[in-house]
Amino acid sequence: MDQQSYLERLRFSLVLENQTRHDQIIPTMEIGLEAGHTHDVILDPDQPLNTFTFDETIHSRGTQKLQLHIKDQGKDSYKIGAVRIMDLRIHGFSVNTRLYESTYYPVYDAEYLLDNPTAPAEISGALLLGNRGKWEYTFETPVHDNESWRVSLV
Amino acid sequence: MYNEVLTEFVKKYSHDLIIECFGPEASLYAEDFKITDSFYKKYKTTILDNIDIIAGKDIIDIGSGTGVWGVLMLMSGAKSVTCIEPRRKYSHGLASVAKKHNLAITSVEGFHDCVFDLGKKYDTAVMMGFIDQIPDPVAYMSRLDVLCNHVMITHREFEDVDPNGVRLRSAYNMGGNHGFNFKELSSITGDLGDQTDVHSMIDHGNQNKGKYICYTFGSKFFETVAENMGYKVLRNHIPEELIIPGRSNHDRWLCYRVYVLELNQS
Repeated sequence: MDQQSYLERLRFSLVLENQTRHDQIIPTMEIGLEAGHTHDVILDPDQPLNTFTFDETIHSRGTQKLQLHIKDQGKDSYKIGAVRIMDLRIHGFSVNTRLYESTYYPVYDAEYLLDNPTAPAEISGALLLGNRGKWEYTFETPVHDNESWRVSLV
Repeated sequence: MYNEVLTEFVKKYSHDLIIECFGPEASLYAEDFKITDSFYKKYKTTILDNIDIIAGKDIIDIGSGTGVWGVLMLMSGAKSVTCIEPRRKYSHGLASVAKKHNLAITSVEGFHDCVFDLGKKYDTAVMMGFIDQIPDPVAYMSRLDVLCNHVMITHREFEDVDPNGVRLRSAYNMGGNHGFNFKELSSITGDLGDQTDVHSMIDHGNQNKGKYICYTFGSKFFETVAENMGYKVLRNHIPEELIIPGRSNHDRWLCYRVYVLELNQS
């Protein structure tokens, strides 16, 4: 691959804890960079922790947004179980406290919203996702050799 | 910029060092690794600018991390390099690379104090970005003359510390270039040396787990310590290349101060 055609390639690993109860349905999700290709995230109901590894190609310096979409399930959306984001790694390095540099945009059921009109449209730093909607993690590129990141030989 | 040593390093060693130290999840990084401007500046200011105490010398690199500087010192003319690093993933990773490529590098898994048990004297000790993370820096300095003739120290510098002063910082051992909680050393089992994780720290109310303190030294701290111990200060400066214009927030990393001390004057 021509190294001049991109800024850097990043390997992400997202670790999710499945908190779906037996009377709920397992969320179906996809993840990827904003306006980019997405990757399906399929939870194994028999595993408490699921790790999804995927690669992204970065073409520009600056702010990037990694988005996890919890898909709509139609009339059954109210049954969607919860997932908790346990970790996010880049090239095997945990982002650690940077995990909180994220925002969750829940999509509520219409009935729920009628009863809870002040339900927040967005929640900063939320890692427990109990509704369909979008979780967005913001980070800066380049990651490689960035003095504030750990991803470096030095 | 072109540098033969760095070019050779990328050709021969960087891929193996990344995979051995960081694991297979870092394979894209290993494939794409290249020398950046900041990497070159660090190489120049730590090795090329101090080549008089490196070339032809037996070196001990204390707190060697991945061992990248040990490899580069060897490639830059050092006779041998002994690397000391407590994080197993790194010390074993470096040992594996040294064995594979038949490099004159000895990798020792251990903390800073273990250097006095090795039973060997070195020409130069290199301590890059670690002396602020040990509990006893002054006492440690006082013992170094039995270990080596010269020492190179680099430490981060924050501008709000009195030149001869020290400030304490408290943080968590998660992420790069951090210290250790010396009461929890047995828990350095994370692949990359962490002693806690974000959920243990924030969600589980275990807010002292992995918490450590480290020092921030003033600009003349080690000069004063050296004078007190009869060591000669050969260099004490912040290399121009490392100064980042406009960076003045005292809570942010600014740049490295570099000391070179002569411990045993003939």
